[in-house]
Amino acid sequence: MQKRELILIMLFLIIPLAFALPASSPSYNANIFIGGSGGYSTSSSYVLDLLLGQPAVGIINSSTYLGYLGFFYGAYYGTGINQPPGKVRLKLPVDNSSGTDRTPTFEWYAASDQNQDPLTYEIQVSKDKTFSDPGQQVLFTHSISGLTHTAVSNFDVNTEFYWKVRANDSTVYGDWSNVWNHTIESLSSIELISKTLDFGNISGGRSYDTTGGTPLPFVLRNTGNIIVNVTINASNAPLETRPLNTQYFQTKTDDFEANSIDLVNSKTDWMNLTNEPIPLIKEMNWEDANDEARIDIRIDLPNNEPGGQKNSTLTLEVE
Amino acid sequence: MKFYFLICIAILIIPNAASIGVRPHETIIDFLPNLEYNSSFKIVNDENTTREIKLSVLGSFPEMIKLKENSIMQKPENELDLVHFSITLPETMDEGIHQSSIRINPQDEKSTGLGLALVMNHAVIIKVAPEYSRLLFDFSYEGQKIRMRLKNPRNEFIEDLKITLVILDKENSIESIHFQPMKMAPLEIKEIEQKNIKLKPGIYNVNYDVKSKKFNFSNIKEFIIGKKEISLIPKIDNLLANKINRIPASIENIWNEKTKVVIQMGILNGTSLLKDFRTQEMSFSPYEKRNIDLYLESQNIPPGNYTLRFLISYDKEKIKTERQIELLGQIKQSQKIEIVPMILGILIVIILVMLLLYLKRRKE
Repeated sequence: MQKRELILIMLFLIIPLAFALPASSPSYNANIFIGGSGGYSTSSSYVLDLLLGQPAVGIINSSTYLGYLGFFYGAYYGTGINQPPGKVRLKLPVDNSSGTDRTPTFEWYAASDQNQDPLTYEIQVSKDKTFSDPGQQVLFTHSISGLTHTAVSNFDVNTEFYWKVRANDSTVYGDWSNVWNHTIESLSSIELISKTLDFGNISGGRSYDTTGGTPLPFVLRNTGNIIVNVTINASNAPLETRPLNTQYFQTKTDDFEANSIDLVNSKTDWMNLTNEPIPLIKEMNWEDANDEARIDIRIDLPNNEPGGQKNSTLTLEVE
Repeated sequence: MKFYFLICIAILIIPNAASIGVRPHETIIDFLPNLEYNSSFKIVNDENTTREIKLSVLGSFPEMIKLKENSIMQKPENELDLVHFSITLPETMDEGIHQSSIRINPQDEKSTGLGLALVMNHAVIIKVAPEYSRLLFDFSYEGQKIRMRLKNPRNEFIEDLKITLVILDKENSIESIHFQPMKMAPLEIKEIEQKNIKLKPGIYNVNYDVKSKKFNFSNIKEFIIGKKEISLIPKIDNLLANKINRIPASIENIWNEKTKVVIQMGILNGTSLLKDFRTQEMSFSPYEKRNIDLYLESQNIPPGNYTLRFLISYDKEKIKTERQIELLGQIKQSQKIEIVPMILGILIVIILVMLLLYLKRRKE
């Protein structure tokens, strides 16, 4: 008999057997096997060589001995021998990269699983490349059902950290992925979001300031990812009749968003502007809801100040 | 009537000064002696503007930081601009944390009226562990005085600090000074002076030995007093034309090392060299003084005024001195005339002695 004919006969005989299996069996996952010549008892569990697929543990439902070929074939139901999920491939942030987001999002590709089991993933992040010191260096280990994870707490800046992921099919873990590293660079950055301050036409013998909101004060936002301090100085006195470091040209700061600055150590009372940088804002926060501070300006215009254009440059210096 | 001046006060900033960022905001270096460190940081151009950024260094060790460029031009297409710098660390630094900054100063267009500028800093921090902070020791000698400058680099007291100095001329100890045990406060600088230490010009070594519970080191430092010199004092008298003239000279090695010397002597008419003379190489011991004869050959040189040039060569040094001389045709008449009365006097004395002897014999 030709080999091709033999296979056709087997398939013809096997197909009806497949329909004989209880379709409602929750652990049903493979149904056809080829066995040796030793014989099988129905309702007994055997390790079976599947006709299509990997070996499985199954309870024999029915079997037929093809004596002239020297083997059994048949159907079974039961659990297959579980294979671990495949190795995970990492996606983002890419290996040896740097960024400024202190709660980075990690992404990876779905792992394969021969048993088609639903998979969850375990991510581990560490400051140590070998992940060998869990007490000190492993930042976190999380089990995740999806393919991304965003860090919950802020990572240290200017520190290299390593991350890896493995899949779990609820029975066994797959191999760890390759280890990738990523560095969160510190970013010192500020932005003036209210950048025009215009007193308009003003008359002598009065003082003008921005505390009432007319005109608006300068508003400074910390757009970086670290706490910063800010100093201020003036290039020269804007008033011809009054020098710097007098009550005629002053500044102070305050929160614009709550808890944006250290109100105890920042200059929240009027102070004279000078040529030398003076600490103005201490500990300016960077997290979105608390990262805006106001800088108020006060000018006391004497009666004898001549009219005309006034020139001076204020410098805000971030340290 | 009261006058009020109406003036326009406006504080404005131009839009391209509205933000600035730097990443990372600091560079931290763990100190190692003489470390050459290259680093960089990025200036963020969030607003995609074109502007010049001036860079400068300030803080506690600006001389150690070298910027590759003192300014960069930000362009809209570059979100980040890289700034490269290098740091060369010294052999030792005070224990603790030292900070300098690279100042990032955008050169925005000057607004009229009152303007606002934003400036950023990139901190450069050096962390010095205690093991790298060595007691600083400076030594100098000037005007018969030894001066020492000590600095305690640590944030702790030094008790019972003992210092011994041995000054060596080659390997021979010529002065040994023991200082009284002393205390030093954290980061204290002490200046100590020792007078009446007389040393001749030369190269010396000072071997300093510093001992305390926390510091224990010795080192040798070379120091130099004065400059290596060879002194030549010729005795020039009655030089004759058409003759080989002997010129006695005194040569002294004013240095504490053996020195090889060659003397060249030439006679010049204006700038043209007429004759010259060169000695063999002579070896002088430290501070040796020796009398030698130099010879000036003046054959075929007519009497007259000339320049006598001495060239003293030792090591790689050459010292040139010149004297104006007169070559005489013969011993001057005035000198001959002086001899005649002397001969006449001698003859008279001889005649008188002979006459006295003759008269004495006649009496006998």
